[in-house]
Amino acid sequence: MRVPLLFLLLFCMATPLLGADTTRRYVPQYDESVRSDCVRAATSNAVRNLYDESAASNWPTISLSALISAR
Amino acid sequence: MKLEDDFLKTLQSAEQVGDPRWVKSTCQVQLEIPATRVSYALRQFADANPKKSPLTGLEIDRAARNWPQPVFGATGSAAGSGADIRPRADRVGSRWASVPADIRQRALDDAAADAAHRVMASVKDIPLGDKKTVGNAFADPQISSRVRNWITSRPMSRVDFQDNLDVEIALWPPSRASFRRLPRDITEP
Repeated sequence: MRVPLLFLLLFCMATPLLGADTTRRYVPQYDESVRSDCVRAATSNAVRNLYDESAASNWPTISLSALISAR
Repeated sequence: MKLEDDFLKTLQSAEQVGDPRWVKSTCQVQLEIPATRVSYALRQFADANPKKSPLTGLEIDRAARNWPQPVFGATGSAAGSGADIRPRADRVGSRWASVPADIRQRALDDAAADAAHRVMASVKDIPLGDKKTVGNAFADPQISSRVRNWITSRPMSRVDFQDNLDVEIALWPPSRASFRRLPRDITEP
């Protein structure tokens, strides 16, 4: 029982004992705000694709883009 | 343009299907909107602008009844740093098909670096006070390098692999939250 505990303790202390830098560095791909910007960008693209999808639906004589760009 | 904006606003009210999906640093979002909501928005426009609209509300109703699906759905994606971005499957016959993955990645990195260069050039004259400008701050290689990294880490919202082997990208502008973090991100080691 003592040996596994000793290994567990050593494992937990390995990083500080070996002098590794434990401070968090700025890594863009793990940045939550970059990730949420990525979700926003994907959502905006989905809306644009939704527009194209509805524009491609059946209309009697006119395209949706012509309809909504009518002045 | 006004109606197009209004119509896009209607589409922005589409429901998200499930959570965003992450595939190798690429985010995918799926949206759905009932066809009735789309036709309602268009009918409102037609009814409010009978002289401008090329279709009457009745014609829009009739057309909407023939739509094969009760909902419109679409997926959008954006790529974060480290995403494996390839030309679309329907463009495999293009000249990009024979370009090795590492060269393609370098082209994307160069495009992002070029975008960062343009952004930095466009803000260099902004005064920072004390007769200093943003350009003066960029003269410090450490600051300019961090700002460049910060810009190139923005998500790519559009990638266009052109037939002449140019690649054009659009970087998603930072949200307020990301922008507020900028000073910390570029000053912390």
